[in-house]
Amino acid sequence: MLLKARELPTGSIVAACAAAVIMSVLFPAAGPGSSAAAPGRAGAPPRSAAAQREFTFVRAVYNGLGPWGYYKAWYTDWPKADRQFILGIQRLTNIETAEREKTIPFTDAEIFHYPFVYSVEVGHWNLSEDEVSSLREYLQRGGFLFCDDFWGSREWENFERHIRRVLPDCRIEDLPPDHPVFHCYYDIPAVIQVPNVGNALYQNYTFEEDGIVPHCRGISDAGGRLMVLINWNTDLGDAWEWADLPGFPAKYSTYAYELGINAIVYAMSH
Amino acid sequence: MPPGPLAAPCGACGRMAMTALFEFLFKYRPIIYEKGSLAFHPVLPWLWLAAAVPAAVLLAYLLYRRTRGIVSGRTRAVLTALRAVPLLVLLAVLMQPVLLLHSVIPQKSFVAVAYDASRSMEIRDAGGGRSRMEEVARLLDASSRPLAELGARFQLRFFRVAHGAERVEGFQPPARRGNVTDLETALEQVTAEMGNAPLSGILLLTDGADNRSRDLDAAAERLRAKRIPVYPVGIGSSDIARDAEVLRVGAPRRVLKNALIEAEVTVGARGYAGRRTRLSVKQGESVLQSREITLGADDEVKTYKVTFACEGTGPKVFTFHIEPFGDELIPENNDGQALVRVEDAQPKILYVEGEPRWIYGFMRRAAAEDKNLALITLLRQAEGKLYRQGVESGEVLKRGFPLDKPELYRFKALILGSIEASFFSFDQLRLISDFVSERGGGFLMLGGRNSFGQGGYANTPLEDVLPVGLRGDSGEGVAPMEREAQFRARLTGYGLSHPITRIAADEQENRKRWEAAAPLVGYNPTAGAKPGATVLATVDLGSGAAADPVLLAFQRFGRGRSVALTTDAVWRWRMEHESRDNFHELFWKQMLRWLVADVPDQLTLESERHSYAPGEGVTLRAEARDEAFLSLNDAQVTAAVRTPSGRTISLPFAWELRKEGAYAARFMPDEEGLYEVTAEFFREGKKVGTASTGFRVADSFEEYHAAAMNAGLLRRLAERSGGRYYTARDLSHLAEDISYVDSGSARIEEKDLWDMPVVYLVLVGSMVAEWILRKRKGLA
Repeated sequence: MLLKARELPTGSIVAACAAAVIMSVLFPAAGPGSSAAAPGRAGAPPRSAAAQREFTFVRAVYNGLGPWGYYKAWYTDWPKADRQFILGIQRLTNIETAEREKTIPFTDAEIFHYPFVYSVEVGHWNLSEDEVSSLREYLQRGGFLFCDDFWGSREWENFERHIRRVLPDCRIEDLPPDHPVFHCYYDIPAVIQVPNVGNALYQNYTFEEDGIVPHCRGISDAGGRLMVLINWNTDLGDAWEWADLPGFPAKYSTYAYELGINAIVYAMSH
Repeated sequence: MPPGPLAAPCGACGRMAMTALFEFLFKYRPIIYEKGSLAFHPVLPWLWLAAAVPAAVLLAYLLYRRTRGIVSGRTRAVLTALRAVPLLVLLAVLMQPVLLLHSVIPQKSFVAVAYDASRSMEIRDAGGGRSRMEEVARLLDASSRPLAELGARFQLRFFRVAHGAERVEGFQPPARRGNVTDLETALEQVTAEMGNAPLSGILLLTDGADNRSRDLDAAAERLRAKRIPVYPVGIGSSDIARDAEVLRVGAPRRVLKNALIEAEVTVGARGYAGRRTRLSVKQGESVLQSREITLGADDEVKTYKVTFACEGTGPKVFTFHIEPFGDELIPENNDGQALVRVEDAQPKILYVEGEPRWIYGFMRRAAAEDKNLALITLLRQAEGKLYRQGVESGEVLKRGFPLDKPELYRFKALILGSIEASFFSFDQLRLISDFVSERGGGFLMLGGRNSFGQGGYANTPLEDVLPVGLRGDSGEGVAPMEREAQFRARLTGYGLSHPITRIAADEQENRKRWEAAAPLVGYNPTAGAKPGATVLATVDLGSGAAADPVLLAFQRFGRGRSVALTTDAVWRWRMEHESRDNFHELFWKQMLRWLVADVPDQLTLESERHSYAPGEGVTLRAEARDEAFLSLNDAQVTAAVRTPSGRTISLPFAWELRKEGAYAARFMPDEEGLYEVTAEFFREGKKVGTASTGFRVADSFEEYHAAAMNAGLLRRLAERSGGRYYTARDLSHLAEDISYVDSGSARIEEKDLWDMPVVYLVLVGSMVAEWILRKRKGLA
């Protein structure tokens, strides 16, 4: 449903938050082995729905922390962000892309069929031991993890704690401007901060929490292959989701599509 | 192994018996008749004898004419013939037949006595536990009767032969046995050494295990023309009862560093059918690989494949050893050797992909782990957008896919992914075909939605290059890619041992790893493998179909080779195997290395063999081609030969008239050990490039291989040269036989034939037969 920024009543926002809190108590964040429908959302597409295509956009289903400030979980922006992004891939590249996204838990063996996985709100990860070991194996085999939409030092701390459980000896580094991921398809001169839709439409600032400066960080394997791309203090998912909103600044969507496509091309070519 | 004549002992006895009978009947041995010519000294004029023959027959007829009516006509005819025979025999005796023989004047002619001094003469099969050389020593001892008789008639000159001939005084065992036997060269050198001396023949004591002569038959014919017969004496046993030997080792002469080296070891055995032993690969004293083998039946030759790895670079000598049995006669032939150059090179491979795909990225990662491969890729990310990776500079492939031979031929292999034929111009498709057939490059097409038939490659030059058909029998196209089909890769018999699919050095381990490989999804149907192609793996859909679709196949095409992998899902062998499982990496390493193996460089240098015995000359051959791989006939080639002791010798090459772009040089090494040769190529004063090779000079055990006494070769040598073959046991007539030759200083000798026992037998026999028949018919 498209709403113009000025039409969002404040009361509705409060009511939505309350509903989210209630729903999160009644329906905890999806645990291991579950790709069932998130509360209040349309059911996850059946696994066999996507016909065999070279690339399928996969959203990771993970164990989250539950309600924390605003409600954040694996299904933030899903499914519209995914499907909008898929349209962009199909239109802007010749990558044969499945029409529909898939949502797969880290612990599901099916995830190894898809070497690219997207995980949102990673600042709210609460990974079980099984998720940690499965994700580790996934990355070591050659999988690529695209992390997005988490803000501030508190969320970074949580994410880092979990990613270091997955990859204990990893080095997390800011990717230099000449890194191939910024040039393998589009040339991206600089990392910019993509705000959430609310801030983009109604505020004159783009940050959340204390996440003032956007970062694009990465973890590479021993051979130098980037296997985890970490978009911190920026929200690419919202830019994909609201790219069709006339009031949503095009520069954010452009950046989000470019970086997202670059990440996929990088994962398929490096 | 020359087959041992199981009936040899019986055959020899039979021949001796026949010879004795012949001599009894005809007074002289068969060889006398072979060497002589018939002549007559009639006691009466010829005219009288000519008239006497019909007169004798008429007389016999008239004598039996009166029996007409008493006996039948046929009986009368037989009696007439029997009466005529004695008369005719008497007439023949009156003609005084003689055999004319050329016989040497004693001590006016020479005989060259040449004895084999090669390593095979150390084998102890000459009877009585003696070695072959000891048998020669016994035969050539001063007290030996055959030698004494020979010495009474001829002047003897002694030679020691192996690779060539060396003049000696009498029998002198050599300090060092010869590494090879070259009877052709030896006989030529003996003849040359004897010069214009009247040579009645060459007595050659040898086991006949010749392993170097180029054309011994022609050499024998030349000796016959010079009237110098050869009298070989076979020393040793032609039937070695118990022996296993390495007949041949086939190994690549060059491999990339860290390659799995596959060698084929050909083994022959006698007396050990079905016995098991171990075949090991050693480098120095280190055993690199070992496997159990089962030996074949007598005279059956079996080939065993053994795969091993080695460390380091440079020339490596590997020994392939069969564990000997305790009762083996010749354990020295249980080893074979190969010299392999391990090169730290980076052959270039070009991979062109039509769309971003997982196989592309995963293959690049696997190739990146192999430091001895340079994978350069061209990825079409969108229409008109090409992404180059692995290029040395921005100029490489700047125009996209190469447009001419120099640009494409710098690669050794080409891989096409899911990219339709229409992406290329027709000239580029023709260029790819020439890349394989003319340049000798490796080619691989991967499965995909724009590959094979679906990619429109039917009716293009690449249709012939591919090892699989793209059209059915009636010319219809093949079905589109089966995107949803789930299957397993099933290796064929060839696939189990082929280098591409060699994931593990051990065959059983390799089979297990393939059986545990993850299932794949999606393949391109084809019209099946072409007649000349080899299928290494098929698509196992689990449906129990009689013929599974081709998954992996290859064929030779011109000077190069072409591979079809009809799926693009092999990246699942990475994502669906545990992270420590390197199946996927090994698969690509093996595939890519095989694609570039033996692909020729622009400039090449090789020695004819990898190993030489001391004293043998080495021939080096170089080939020069330009960037389009056209032969260069105007290059200047000079090599620097580095000896084992560190000296460097300059060696200029000469252009070979008979072959385009080929140059040769000959070198005589004077040290044992490893030699390194580096050739520089110049054209119009500018250096074009270099090429290197190496060879080894070492004592060879070649003499112990195929070491049974080769009676067949020696008989043929004798026959073609006009001589006669002898064994060590039947030398009693040797001196006499050699005496009857029309060479050297000879005289004419006459031998009477009228008093042959057969004459009396015929005479008496016919008279007795006539008497018996008369009595039976009631005649007086």
